[in-house]
Formats: sequence, structure tokens, C-alpha cells
Amino acid sequence: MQDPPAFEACRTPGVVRETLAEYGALTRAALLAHLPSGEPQKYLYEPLADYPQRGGKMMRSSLCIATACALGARIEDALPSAVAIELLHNALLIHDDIQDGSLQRRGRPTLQALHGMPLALNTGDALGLLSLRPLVDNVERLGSRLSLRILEETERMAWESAEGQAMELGWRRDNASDLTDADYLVMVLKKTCWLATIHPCRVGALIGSRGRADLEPFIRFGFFLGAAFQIQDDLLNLVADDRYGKEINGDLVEGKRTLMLNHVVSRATPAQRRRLARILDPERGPPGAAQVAWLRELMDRCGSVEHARGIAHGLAGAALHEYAGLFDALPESRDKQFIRGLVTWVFERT
Amino acid sequence: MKTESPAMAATPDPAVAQTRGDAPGDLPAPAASAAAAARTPPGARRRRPEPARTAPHRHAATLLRASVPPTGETAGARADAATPADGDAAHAEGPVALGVRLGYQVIEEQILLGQKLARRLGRKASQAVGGAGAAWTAGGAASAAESAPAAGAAPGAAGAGTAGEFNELLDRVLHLYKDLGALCFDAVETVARNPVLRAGVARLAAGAAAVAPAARTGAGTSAEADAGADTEAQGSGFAVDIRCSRRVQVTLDLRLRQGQGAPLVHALHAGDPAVPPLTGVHLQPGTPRVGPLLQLTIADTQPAATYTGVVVDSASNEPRGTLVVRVLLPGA
Repeated sequence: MQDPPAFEACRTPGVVRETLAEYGALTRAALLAHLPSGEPQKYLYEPLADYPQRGGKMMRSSLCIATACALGARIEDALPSAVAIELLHNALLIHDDIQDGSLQRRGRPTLQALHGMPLALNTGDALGLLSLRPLVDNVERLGSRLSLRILEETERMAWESAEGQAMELGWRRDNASDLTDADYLVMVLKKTCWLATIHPCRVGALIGSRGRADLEPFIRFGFFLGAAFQIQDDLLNLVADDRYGKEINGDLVEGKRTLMLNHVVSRATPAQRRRLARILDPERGPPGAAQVAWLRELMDRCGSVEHARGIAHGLAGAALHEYAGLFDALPESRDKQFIRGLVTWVFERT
Repeated sequence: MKTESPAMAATPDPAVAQTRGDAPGDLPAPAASAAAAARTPPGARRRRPEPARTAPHRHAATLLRASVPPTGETAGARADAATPADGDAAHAEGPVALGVRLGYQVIEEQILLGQKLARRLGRKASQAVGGAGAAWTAGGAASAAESAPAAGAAPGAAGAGTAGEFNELLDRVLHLYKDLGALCFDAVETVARNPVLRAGVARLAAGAAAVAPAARTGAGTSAEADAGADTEAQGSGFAVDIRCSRRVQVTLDLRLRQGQGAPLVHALHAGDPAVPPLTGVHLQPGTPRVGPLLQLTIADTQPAATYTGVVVDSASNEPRGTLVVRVLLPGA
């Protein structure tokens, strides 16, 4: 049996972009108010404000606010937690760019390209620390008990993210060649889903239910949504246009173990595998343009892109199913429409 | 001959829905097993085979997932069996269905791992701390990870049911204890934050003292301060203003009654009659909104000693409490 329901053909409701714009603007304004200024402005506070000011989709913070509001909270109740999520996200982006040696972020040079790695690293540390402040501010509005729960959630999310990042970096360092789709999904669950979707949903649910919600089902919904999001992100890296904001084929240059790469390795002939191992060997340095082109063509011949796209569609279908179990019983609202619409938005974004 | 259509299962399955190319939001029922289409002799009436089950599978754990609930052992076994065959499975079922199957397999295993970790953390905490503290810690660990189902032995093991029930009961007790503790904490926090409630509680305490003073031996409205500067005694509603270059410990025990005169304190005396009394003591009566203020002025030449005095009712001169001031040696 072969694929697929064309998710690309499903138009994302306008409420998704509207909500992203509204909640994103609120979060960004609150976030910028948290950024300190003063000396050393040039070496710390200026770079600190750089990534947050570049824009971004603000999906994480919007998902947190929308989940809280769908369960009956007010926007202000969830705003500090949403700010904390975005601050930590930006901190991890800085570290990611350093670890990956990336050159572009959101259409502009990365922080380490602008300021050098040591200053960029320090800025990432500072942003990570700064993300604690809104969580402390939660005490005034949400009370100490609920704030402590959110802090515990944040701690867990940070650990999961660190584990996922370690898996990916370790695979690249060791030039892993026997990874399965399941391995990839476990890594994505930890590296991407916890921060991008699971944590925002769970924190939003905690706030909306005043700590009474059963948080386990949000892991499933967040995982399916976040994994579809990440796979689509990986696909965009291979096929996107200039609006994507990162280097095209950058993941191949960096040797990222994406679904497509794992698939092409598993489908390659022994001779092709040996060549792949040489290309991906980090000891030999980044591959040249011709090697990347050969790898990209091999992916097309092996159907790796279609394989990954199909899996992303399957995960998105499961996300819709889990959404129904979580949200269908709640009163109809714009926030519910937004959360559901994110599943198709994942495939329409650039 | 008219043939019957295959039986349809009641449970929607997104994996099947996706492979059939249906829209993701509308997940139709899948076809049943091929057993329903077993060959029948010519002329004989075709009959639907007897179903193996007599009731629909509507358990949450089996919804959209494998027919066997993912217990620890079965989930691990499924993972072991599935991993090497991922590539073959992809060929057989197509990437969309593979995505659904793998997705549920991965997430169920990870949730189980999280639950096991939470239980292990809870158990460790119990061993390390014990008693009530462990109850709080164990509950916190469980809630931080997952709301784990009944912790217990593996199904089918000898005594598994009893152990599981006991552990479930224990788990509930721990959670109840945790919730009660949190409720008390929230209540105290609410009272402490709200000045109106705080004043009400203070009046209530004063009223209770008036009704049953004998039952409040050594209690009443008391405050202890240990400072070398301005201090507000926590939780008592008293302010203590100490002016002294040395470290001073103050214990104030008051039994006030409504409708009486203001509390008054005279000079405080040390145990040794040769030590000069502490005269810089002044107790300002409070108002319904602001508690009393105890002002202490201690000269640098005042000998280190423990000074005591009686707080009296300014109207009747009856004792209403005690005040103890311990002046420590310089540098103590």
C-alpha cells in the first residue's frame, strides 16, 4: 500500500497565522522587557537581544498560551511561561549554531559568525539563565505550588533536550551508520519535541487547569506534532528556497542523522555505503559541493525524501487523532482551532 | 450469489486510514481480517465467523495501538522484535503507516521509561529520607515525570495483584498526603499575603485567648526576634525596633484581651541585682490594622545578661505577658 493524504493540499486555517501573530507579538513584547541593558552592552546585552529580535515563528510560546486559554486561563497567566520558553529556545539556538558550525539563522549570519564563538557561547549561557526569571515571576500570579510544578516541568524538558542533543551530536561524531527510523524518532522526541511542543502544551495545561490536568496525553500529541514539524524542517533543508533562512543542504554538510540520511544509508549498495561513510566522516572535514550533490541525488534515487515525507504525514495523522482525544470535549474556541491547525501549518510553512 | 461485506472494526485506526489515502481528519474504520472471507461450500449459506471476542476493545491502552497493552515486558519485547525489521516493515506497509506504527511504539516505550524512572526516584527518596518527607518527595517525583498508573509487580507474577493493589493504595495515600500538605501551604500563603485576612486571624487568635487562656500555656501572642537592627517578628503581627550595637535576642509573650488597657512594660531586670536594669523599653499599643511595636534602646555600656520583665495591663496593672531580652557579649 502506498501513500498519502496530501497534507500540503489542506489549507491551514487563517486562525493559525493570526494567532501566531497575536500571541507571538505579545510574547515578544514581554520577552524584550525582560532583556537587561547597560554594560557590557557591546559584548553581552546587544548580542543577547539579537536572536529574539530577529522574529521567528513563535510557535512554542503561542502553543503554550493557546493550550492554557483553551482550558480556561487568561493570556496573562501563561505569558511569563511563554516568555521563558522563547528565551530558552533562543539560548539553545545559539548553542546549536555553535555546535553545528552554522552560518545563517533566520536569514542573517549566526551569532558566532558575527561575534565569534566565545562571546556567542557566553550569550547563550546568559539567555538560558535569563529564562529562569519569568518562571520566578510566575509565583506572584500563579502561586508557589503551581509555579514549582512549572519549574519541575522545565527541568524535565531541559534534561530531555540535552539528552536528545547529545544523541545527535554523538551519532555525528561516531559516524553512526546503523540508525533506524525508531532511533531517529527517539532522538527527535527528546531533542525537538519536548521543547517545541510537549513542554508548551503541558505547561499550558497546568496553567489552564490550575495543576489538575493529566499531562501524559500531551506527551503523545506533542510528540506527533513535534516530530512531524522536525521532519518537515529536515525536508525544507533539502528543498526550500531562500525564504527558509538557513543554508540549503546544510544538514548534509553537517552530517545530521535525519530520516532521509538514515534511509539512504540503509538502501545504499555496499560500495555506496563505503563512499557515504567517507563523506560523512567528521575526521575528514565537511564534504565538498560535489559530494553533497552526489548524496542528494542518491537520496532521490532511493526515495528517501518521499519516505520521510510519508512518515511525517503518518505522524501528523496521529497528532490529529491525539488532538481529538485531548481537546474535542472542550468548548469550541479560537485557541482550539489554532492548535488543530498547527498540524497542517507544519507542512505549509517555509 | 450475494456476498457479505467483511466485518468492520469499531475502532478507528489512523495507520490504516493513512494508507488508504483518506483525509487525516476523517479516520474511517479498517477492514477486518481475512478470516471473514473464508471459502464456503457451493450452495451453502455464507456465515460470518464467530468473533474471537465478545465485546469491543475499548480500553484506552489498546486504542490505536497494539492489541496487547504495552506493559513493561511486552513493550520491550515488541521493540526488540520491531527494530531489526524496520526496513522490511517500511516496504510492506508504506511510509505513512510506518510513521504511525513507529510513532506509537516509540512514544509508548518512552512514556513507560518515564514512569519507571519516576517510580525509581520515588523509591530512592523513600529509602533516603523515610516518613512524611519521603511521601512528599515521592509524590513530587511522580508528578514531575508522569502520573504513573498503579505501581506494582509485573502482571501474572505470584502475588502481583495484592502487591499491585497495596502499592496503588500506598500511592493514593501519598498523593492524598501531598495534596493536603499543598492545600495547607496554599491556605497559609493566602492568609499571609492578604492583610485583611491576616488582621482577621490575629483578632481570632486574640479572641481565642480571651475564651480559653488556661489552655494556652506559654503561648498567647508571642514573638521572637534575633537582630541588631530594625526587625519585624514574622507571623506575629508585632514590629520590634531594636537600637543596639550588639547582638540581642528578644522573646515577647503576650496574652491580650479585647477591651482592656494598653500593654505596658517597665524596666527589665537581670538575675544579678548588681546589674543595672534595662530601661529603654517601650511597648506601643497596636491598632486593628497594625500590631504593637516594641522599641528597645540598649546602651553600649549595658552589661551582657538576660533581662526579664512583666508586661502589664496599663488600666488594671494585671500581668499580660513577659518580655525577655538577652544582650550578648560584644562580637558574639
